[in-house]
Amino acid sequence: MLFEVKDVYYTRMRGTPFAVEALKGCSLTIPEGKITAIVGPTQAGKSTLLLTLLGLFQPSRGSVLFRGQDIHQAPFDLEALRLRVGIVFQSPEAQLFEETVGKDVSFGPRRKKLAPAQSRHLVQESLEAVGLPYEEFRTRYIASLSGGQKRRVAIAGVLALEPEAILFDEPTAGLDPQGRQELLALLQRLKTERRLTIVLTSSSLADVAMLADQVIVLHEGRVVLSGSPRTVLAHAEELLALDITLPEITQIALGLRSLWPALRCDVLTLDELEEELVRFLPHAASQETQLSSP
Amino acid sequence: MIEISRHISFGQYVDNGSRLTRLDPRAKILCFALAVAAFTYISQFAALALCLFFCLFLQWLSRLPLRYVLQGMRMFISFLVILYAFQVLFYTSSTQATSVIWHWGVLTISWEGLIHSTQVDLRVIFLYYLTSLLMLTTSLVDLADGAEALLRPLRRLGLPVHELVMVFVIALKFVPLLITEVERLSIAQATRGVRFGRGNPWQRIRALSGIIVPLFMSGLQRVEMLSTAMEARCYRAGYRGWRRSKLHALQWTGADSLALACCLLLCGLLVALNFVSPF
Amino acid sequence: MIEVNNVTFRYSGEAEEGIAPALEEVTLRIDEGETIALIGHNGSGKSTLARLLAAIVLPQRGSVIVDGLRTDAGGESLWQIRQSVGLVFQNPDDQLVTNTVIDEIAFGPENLGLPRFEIEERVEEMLDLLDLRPYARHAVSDLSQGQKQRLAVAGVLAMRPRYLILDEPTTMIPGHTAEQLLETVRRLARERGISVLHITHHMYELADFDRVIVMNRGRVLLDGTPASVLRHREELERAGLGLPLITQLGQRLRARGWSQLPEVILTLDDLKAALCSLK
Repeated sequence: MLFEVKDVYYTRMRGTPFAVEALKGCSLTIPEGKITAIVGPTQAGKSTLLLTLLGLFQPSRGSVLFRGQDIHQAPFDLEALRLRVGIVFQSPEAQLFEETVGKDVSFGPRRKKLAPAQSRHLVQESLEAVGLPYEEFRTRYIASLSGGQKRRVAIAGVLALEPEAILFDEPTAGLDPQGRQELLALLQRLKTERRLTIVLTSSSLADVAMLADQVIVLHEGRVVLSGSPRTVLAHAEELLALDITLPEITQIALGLRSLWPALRCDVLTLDELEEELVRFLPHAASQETQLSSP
Repeated sequence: MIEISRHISFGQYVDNGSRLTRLDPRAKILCFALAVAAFTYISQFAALALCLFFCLFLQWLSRLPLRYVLQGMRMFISFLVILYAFQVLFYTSSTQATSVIWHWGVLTISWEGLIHSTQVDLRVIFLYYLTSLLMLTTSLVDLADGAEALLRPLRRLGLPVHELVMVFVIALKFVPLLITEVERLSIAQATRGVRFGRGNPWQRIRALSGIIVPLFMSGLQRVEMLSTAMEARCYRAGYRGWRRSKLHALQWTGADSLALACCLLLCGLLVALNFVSPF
Repeated sequence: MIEVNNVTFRYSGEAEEGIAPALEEVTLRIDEGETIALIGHNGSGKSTLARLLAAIVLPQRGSVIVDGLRTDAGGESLWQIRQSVGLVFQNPDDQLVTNTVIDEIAFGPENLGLPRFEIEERVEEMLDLLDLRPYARHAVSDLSQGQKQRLAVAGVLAMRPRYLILDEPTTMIPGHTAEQLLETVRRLARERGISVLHITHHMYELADFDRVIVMNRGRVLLDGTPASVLRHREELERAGLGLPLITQLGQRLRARGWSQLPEVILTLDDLKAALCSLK
C-alpha cells in the first residue's frame, strides 16, 4: 500500500466562527501503481483528503501512513514525501508563474539543483509526456497558450519532479468533452508508461468509470462505498441520492430498469448495454432469420 | 502558511445577530470616526485604561469569540513588537531631561522612551481593534451604503460619491478572494519545492514574487470580467443622468441615537481624563 | 425578435496573425419564446455569438438587431438592449458583483432605477423561483458552485429580460445540478415567454430544446429541430460532435433487426416508449 488513511478527522478553519468538519473518521487505502478515483459531491472533503495525504493538513485525530510509516511521526521526512508525491491542483493553469513554458517546467529541477543537462532532459521528457513537443513549446509564452495547454504545462511541471505518485484535484473540471477525453487518456498513459500511482478526485463517475482501478465514494467526510467501478456502479441509485453524476450509459440503464427490473446497471460501455438489452428484448423478425441461418 | 484565512480576520463579516451587527451602519461609522479621533488625541495611561474598558465592552456586545478576534490581530501585533523595539531604542526627546537606563553607541533605553512608545503602540492596537471590529460586525454592503449616505453632501461639490464607494466595495470583495488565492498558490508552490519563510531575505522575496505575479494577473483578469458583467447588467458608471435606486433603506432607531450619545460621552470623558490625569 | 444579419466578427489583433474570424457571415433569427440549444466545438464561435447578441461586442460587418434596435446604434438603445438580453457567464465567479445573495439579485433592478417596492418584489420572486430562499442572507462566497450559478441566473432574470443567453452554464457544475438548472430555465421560458439560448458542448442536453443550432469554425452548420439535426450524423462528426449515446443505442438496435424503432431517439422516455411497443 502506498497510503493508508486510518480514521482521520480534520476541521478546516479551526478556532474561527467558520469552522467546518471536513473529514469525519475517514479510512481508506491507496494501492501502488493503480488509478484510484475519489468521488463525491462538492464539500465531501475530497480536496482536504488530498492535502492530508501530503501532510499539508495535520489530522486532529487518526493517522496517515506512507508505505507503513506514520507521516507525522519522527523520523519521517515530510519534505521528502512531497518530492516523491506530486500534486496537481484544481485549475492548475492559474498557478503557472514563470514567463515561458520551459522556465515553468524546469522550476522543480532547478530547485533540486540538478545539472543543466539533466534538468533539460527532464523538461523535455515531461513536456513530451503530456503531448507538448519540446522544441515547439519550450520558448512559448504561457500567456499565449490555450486553457487546456496550460493545464498540460502544469502537469509537466509536476512530472519534472520525477514523482512516484501524482494526486490530481478535479483534473477535468471546466474542460470541454474533447479536452476531458484527452486528459483522461493522458492519465492512463502516465499509469501504464511511467508506472505512476494516480489518485484523482471528481464529482462525477462519468469521467472515471472507464479509467479507475478503484473508486472510493466520499460523503460528508466519510467513505460510503469503495471497490472497482463496476462494484460501485451497481449501487447506482444510492449514488444518485448522494448527488454524484453517473456515466450516461448507467443513467440509461437505470432508466430502463422500470421496464426490466432485472437489467444490470453496472455497464460501462455502449457495447455492454447493447448486449444486456438484447437479452431482454423479444426477438425481432429479421433477427430470427439471421439466427437460424448461420 | 497553509491555512492563511484562519489567521486573517480582516475583511470578514460574522453575521451573528448581535447588538453591534444590528446597529445602523451610519451610526457605526460615526461612532467609529469619533472614537478614532479621541483615541488618537489621548496620551495618558488613565485615558488608555478607559479605552481598554471600552474595547472590552464592545467585545462583549459583539458576542464574537475573543480568541478569534485576537488571532486575526496576531500578525499585526508581531509586526508592532518589532516597531516597538525600534521606537524605544531610537527615542529622542524634545525636552533634554531623560533618565537613561541603558546606553550603547547610538542606542539608548530611557524611561521616557519606554513610556512614550508604550502609549503610542497601545493606541495603535486599540485603533486596529476598532477597525477590525467594525468590519467583523458590518457587512460590506451596509458599510458602503452607510458611507455613501454620510458622504452624500459631497456630491454637491461634484464628487462621484457613488462610484467611489462602489470601487471601494469591489476592492474589498477581492480581499477574501485574494487570501484564498494566496493560499492556493502557496500550497501549489510548496509542493514544487519552494520553501517559504526560509533562506536569506533575498530568497524569501524571490519565493514571494512567484506568488505575486500570478496573483496580479488573475486579479486583473477578474476585474475586467467583472466590469463587463456589471455593464451587461446596465451598470452605467460615468453616464450623465443615470440614477441607481437602492433596495436597502437605512433605518435610524433609538438604539443608534443611544450608541452615538454614549460614544460622544466617552470621547468627552477621554479628553477630560487626558487633561486632568497626572500620567 | 433578434436578427443577426450577415455578421462577421474578428477579435482585435487576430487579422494580422492570419487567424480566421471568430464568426463569418452568420445569419440567424431568434423568435420570442423559442428555446434554442447552441452547440459547437471550442473555437466554433458560440461564445462570440453570445457576446454579440448581448451587445458586449459589436459586429465589424453586418448587424445585430434586437427588437428593432441595432446593437451598434449607441446611446440609450444600448442600455435598452442590455436590459432585454440577459447574459449568464460560464463561471459565476466572473459575474457575481456583490457580497450577499439578496444584494446580488437587487443589483440589476437597482441599476434600472426601479422604485424600492418593485425591487423587493423582484428579489422575493427570484428567491422562490430559483430555490435560493434558504440562502437569502448568506454571503456569496459561502455558496456552492451550483448555487452560485443559480444566483447568477436570478440576478439576470431580475431585470426581466426577454431573451436569456446562457454561455456554457453547465461546464463548471456537476451534471445533476446542471440538469435541474436547465429544467428551471426551460420552465421559465414556457411560463413567461422568454426566449432561451443555451450554449453547450454536451450533445445529451439538446433533446429538450425546440431548436438546435450547430456551429463550426465561425459558421452555422446545422439549424433545426433536435431530431432533424441529429439525422446529419456525418456532418456532426466532422464538426467533432458525436451523436448522444441514447441515439446511438437506438440505431445499433435498429441495425440488429429491430427495424421498427425510430431512426432518431432523443430522450430516455422516447427509448422506453419505443422499446415498450416491441414487447
